[in-house]
Amino acid sequence: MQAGSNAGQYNNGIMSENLDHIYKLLFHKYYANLLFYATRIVGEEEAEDVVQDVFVELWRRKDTVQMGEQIQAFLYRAVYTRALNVLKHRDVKSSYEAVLAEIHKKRIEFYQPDSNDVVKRIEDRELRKRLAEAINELPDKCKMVFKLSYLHDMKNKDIAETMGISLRTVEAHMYKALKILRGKLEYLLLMLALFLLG
Amino acid sequence: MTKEVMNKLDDELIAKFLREECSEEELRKINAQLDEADENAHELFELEQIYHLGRSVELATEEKIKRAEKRLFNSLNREEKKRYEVRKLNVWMRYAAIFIGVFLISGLGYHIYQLQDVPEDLVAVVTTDEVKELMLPDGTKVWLNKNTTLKYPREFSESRRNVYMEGEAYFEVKRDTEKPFIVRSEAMQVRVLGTVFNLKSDKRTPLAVASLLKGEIEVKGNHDEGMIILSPGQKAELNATTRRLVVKMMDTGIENWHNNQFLFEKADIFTIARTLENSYGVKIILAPDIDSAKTYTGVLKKKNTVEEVLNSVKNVIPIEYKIVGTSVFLSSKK
Repeated sequence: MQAGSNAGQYNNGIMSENLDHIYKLLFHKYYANLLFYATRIVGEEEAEDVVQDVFVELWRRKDTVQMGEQIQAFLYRAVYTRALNVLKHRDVKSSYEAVLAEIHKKRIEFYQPDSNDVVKRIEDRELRKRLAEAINELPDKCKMVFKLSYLHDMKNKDIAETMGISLRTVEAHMYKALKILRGKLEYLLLMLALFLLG
Repeated sequence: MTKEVMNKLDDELIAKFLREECSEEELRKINAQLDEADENAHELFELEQIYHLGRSVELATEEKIKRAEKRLFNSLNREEKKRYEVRKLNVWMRYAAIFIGVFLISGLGYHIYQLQDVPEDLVAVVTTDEVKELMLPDGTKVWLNKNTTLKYPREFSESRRNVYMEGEAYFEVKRDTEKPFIVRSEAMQVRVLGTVFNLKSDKRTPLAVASLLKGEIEVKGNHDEGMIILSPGQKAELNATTRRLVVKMMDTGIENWHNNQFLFEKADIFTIARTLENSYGVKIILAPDIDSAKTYTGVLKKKNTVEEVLNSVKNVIPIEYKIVGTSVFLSSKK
């Protein structure tokens, strides 16, 4: 990012216009990915609030924060910290919520922002593009069945009803889709395929 | 490596976990496995991350980002404004002190005016059985639905336009960026900047709804339920029982009660049925042979009985209806 080269030269008067511009660019660059990251940890409902708060915080500190290459690390860490806080303050009102909270605790350990892989995967646009392309290259009926299941969370029997085909045909299409995807995307989809057959 | 580990938790269980369909028992099983070894947790969450990455390609739409950006900049503006207003207030306080000081010294014994806005006479408008249209001191147009009360000052203050409403009202607010228009009601308050919206907030019903047609409004729960900024086509629903404030898409069809008509825009039969249910207090049951995919756009004049409206609907949509008590059965015309 070009911002990096300016990072060293601070002079509020001249820089402030640039700072606003940089701030806007940062927002567009990172919002969606940070939202994904936050959603994994705290869920859809509270994720947006977390990311909004982080950007407001960034604004408040715009004069002191280095807008360089480290800004990505700053943003992910800020989201992580707030998300951790949200989890800590969640009320546990049932035994179901209690075991869910246990799993959330383990999950957030996995999502530590200093772990290179986790953030890398999110920031890797190529990865997502490859996944989307592979899905779109599936043969027609197969693609429809797979998309309804994977992207829209439909149950196999509902897909059968909606498309007017038999349940067995749906299952066959799913199996075919996963076989094709597995071939295309090797390691990553191998894991996916094994567990989506249910 | 992976295959062994994952087989301990069978495939179906993991699929359920990914789709968030696990029961408590199943979650316990998974949690127990995660406790057994660190790799288990790592592998499961890695799989989960990729699973969701694959699904998220369409999640961050241009529109969503734009809305989030708007919300962010509203927050930032408020931040800046707060700082400005505090500064402004401090300046006034200083002058007030000097002012009072001068008069005391000269001993003229004038009345000291309060610096905050003196409340003007309030006008209260109540409707009973009909829709009432009126114009507020700033040119804003308001339509009040049945059994609605609106209170507003004869003249709006310098800094804002405050009104109080109970019931249901449709607003076309005159744009004034210096003076935000604020509608307070029992459950929520809506802050506007020149816009067209509908607000329904009643002591009797547990649900308060603000629907936005044009412009932009900020909706705030009165008991710390939170705050939301709406874009056109959205509505904010505040449930007084659960104390939750959520944003949903508007149903078309309801907000034209002030024109005595229903306005439908690409509405399917479900939306139309729901609108009629709400307006006439009936329950509508749709036969399975009704074409639920077709959508309709147009204006439907409000009639006194649901039967009369259904006769109009029949002209456009091929349906037959049968009324039994307060239930209406709709089926496809043969």
